[in-house]
Amino acid sequence: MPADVTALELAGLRKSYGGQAAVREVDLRLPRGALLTLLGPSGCGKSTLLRMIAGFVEPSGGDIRINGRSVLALRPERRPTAMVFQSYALFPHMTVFDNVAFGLRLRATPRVEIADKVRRALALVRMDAFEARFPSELSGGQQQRVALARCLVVEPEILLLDEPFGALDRHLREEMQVEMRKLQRQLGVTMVVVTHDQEEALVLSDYIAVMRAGAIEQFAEPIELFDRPTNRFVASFMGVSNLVDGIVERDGEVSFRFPGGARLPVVSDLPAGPATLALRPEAVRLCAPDDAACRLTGTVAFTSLVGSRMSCEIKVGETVVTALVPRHGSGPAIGERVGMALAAEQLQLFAR
Amino acid sequence: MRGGAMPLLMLPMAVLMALFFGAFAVFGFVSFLQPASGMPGYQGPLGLSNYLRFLTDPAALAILGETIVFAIVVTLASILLGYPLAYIMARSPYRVVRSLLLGALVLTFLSGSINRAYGWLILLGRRGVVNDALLALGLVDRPVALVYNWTGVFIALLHFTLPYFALTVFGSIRSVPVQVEEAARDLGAGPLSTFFRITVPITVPAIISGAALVFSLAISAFAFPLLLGGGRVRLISNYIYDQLFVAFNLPFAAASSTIFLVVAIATLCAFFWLEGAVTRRRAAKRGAA
Repeated sequence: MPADVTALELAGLRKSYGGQAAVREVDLRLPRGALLTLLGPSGCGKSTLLRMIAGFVEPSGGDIRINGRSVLALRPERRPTAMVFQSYALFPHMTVFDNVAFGLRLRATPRVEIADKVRRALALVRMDAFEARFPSELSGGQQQRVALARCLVVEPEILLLDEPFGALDRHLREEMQVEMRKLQRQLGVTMVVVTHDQEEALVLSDYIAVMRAGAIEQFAEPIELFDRPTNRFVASFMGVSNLVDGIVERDGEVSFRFPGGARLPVVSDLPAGPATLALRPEAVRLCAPDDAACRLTGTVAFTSLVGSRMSCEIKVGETVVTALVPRHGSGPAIGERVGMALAAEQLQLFAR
Repeated sequence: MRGGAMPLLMLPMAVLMALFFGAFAVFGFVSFLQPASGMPGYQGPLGLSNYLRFLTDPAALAILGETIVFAIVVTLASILLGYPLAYIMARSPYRVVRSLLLGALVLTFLSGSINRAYGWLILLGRRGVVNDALLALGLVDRPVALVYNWTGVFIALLHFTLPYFALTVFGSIRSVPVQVEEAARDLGAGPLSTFFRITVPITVPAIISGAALVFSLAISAFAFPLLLGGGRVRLISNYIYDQLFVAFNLPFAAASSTIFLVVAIATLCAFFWLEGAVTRRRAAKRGAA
C-alpha cells in the first residue's frame, strides 16, 4: 500500500451549534488504503466529524481535503465518499439488487455493466444468493452486508461507517469485524469508522483517533495507543484500570510516591509534582516481598477467578492496585503480603 | 371465548348494525317500488322502472359522469398540492414552518363547511377581496367570475379535502427515516431525484389511501355545490336531494342513491386494487429479478 499518499486530510476542522462546540480544531492526515477509527464515548463529536466528511453537516471552519482537493463546496451527492449508516438505511421499496444498483444507475452506467458490478459486489459480501429479497426479509447482519455492498459498488475514495456493528449481537459482531478488516485489506479501500468500542477499534484499525469533547486526544497506531496512551482519559478508555494519582519526586533518582507513602522508582521526563500512574492489571507480576525484582509491596485485599487467571486487589498504602496474574494453585491468600515486579516500559506517567 | 361473554358483548353491536343497515335496506327496498301520485309516498308493484329511468336519462347520467370527473380532478389536485405540503410539514428544518402549516391545516380541518362556504363567497365574490386585488393590480379589467360556477366549488372543495390528504401522507413521510434519504444523497442522488426515487415510492400506499379518502369526500359533496355553485353546479348528491325534496319522488331518489353507492364503492375498490397492485408489482419484481 502506498502509505505516502494522503487520501484524507482534515485541517482545523470545527463545528459549533449556537456557540456550543461539537468538534474543535481537528487536524489529521490519513494515508490511502488505511483504516482510521474515530473512537470515543457518545457525544464526543465523532459522528459529527464523520457527517462533515460525508457532507451532511456543514463545518463552521477548517477544511476537508480528499486526495488533495477540498470538498467543502461539494454537496453530499457530489463527494467521492460513501457511507454505511448505523441503521443501514436500505431502501425498503427496492430489492437487494436494486439497492446495490442505485448508485450505478444514477451514474448512467450501461445495464450489462450494472448487473455485472452489482453481482460482484454482492459476491464480495457473500450476499449473491439474496439479490431478489427485500430488506425486510433480511437479518441485521445481512442488511449490513448489503449496505456495505451498496457503498463498495460505487468505488468511493473514502468509505465511511457509522457504528457499523452496533446493532449486531456479540458473536456476529466479532465475525463481521474480522471479515470487514480482511475485505478492507483485500480491496485497499480507505475507510473511516466511528465506534465507541475500544476492542473493535483495535481489531479493525491502522490508525485510531481517540476523541473527547470534540477534540482528538491521541492519534496513533493501535499498538502504540494500547501500550503508550498519552493521557489519563485515553488510558482509561483503552482499558487501563489502574490509574493512581500520586506525586513524582526527583531527589537524585526519579520515583513515584503513592498516596500513603509507598515509593516506586520510575523512568520519566516529568518534572517533580502531581502525576497519574497508569498500569495495566496484566502487566503486574507477583513475587516475594524480598525478591530482587520486587518494586512495590502490598497486602492482598480481595481475589477473584477470571478464567485461567486470577484478579487480585492489592492494597498499597491508601490505594488499591489490581493485578491480573496467572493462577498457581489456589493463588495468594487474602491478607498475605506480596511484592510486585513491574516492567518499566509498561508503566505510564501523566502530569496532572 | 366459547361460552364466555362474547355473544353478550356482540349484542349491542348487532343492534347498532341492524339499525344502520336496516335504514339502507328499507331505502334500497323502496327503490324497487313506484311513486304514489301527488304525495311523498310509494306503492307497488315491485319493478326496475326507477333504475331504467335513471340509466336511460341522459341528464341524470351526465350529472353522475360530471360528479365522477369532478371528484377525480379534486383528488388529483389534492395529491399535487397536498403531497408537497405534507413533505414540507414533515421535513422542514424550521420548527416555525412545521408548526404553522400543521396548525393551519388542523384549524381548517376543524372549522365547519357552511362557515367556510360563506367565507369563500366573501373572498371570491364579484366585489370580494381576490377580485379587488386583481383589479387593483391591473391584472384584469372586469371582475372574474370565481363563484357560482365550477371554479368556486372546486376551490372550496379542494380546501376542504386538502387536510384529509395532507394529514394522511404526513404520517407516512414522517415514518421514512431521514437516513434513508441521506443514503440516497450519499450515493449520488440530488434532492429532486431523492424525492421522486425514494420518498414518493415509499409512501405510495399512503398516497392511495389519502386519494381514496379525498375521492369519497369529493364524490359525495353536497353543501359546497349547493352554496357556491349558483344553481349551475349540480353534483349527484344535489340531484338526489332534488328528487327527494322537490319532486317528492322517494322511490326514484332511492334508486339514484343506490346507483351512486354502487359506483362509489366500485371506485373505492379500484383504489384498493391499485394499492394491492403496487405491492404485488414489488413482489413480482422480486420473482423476476
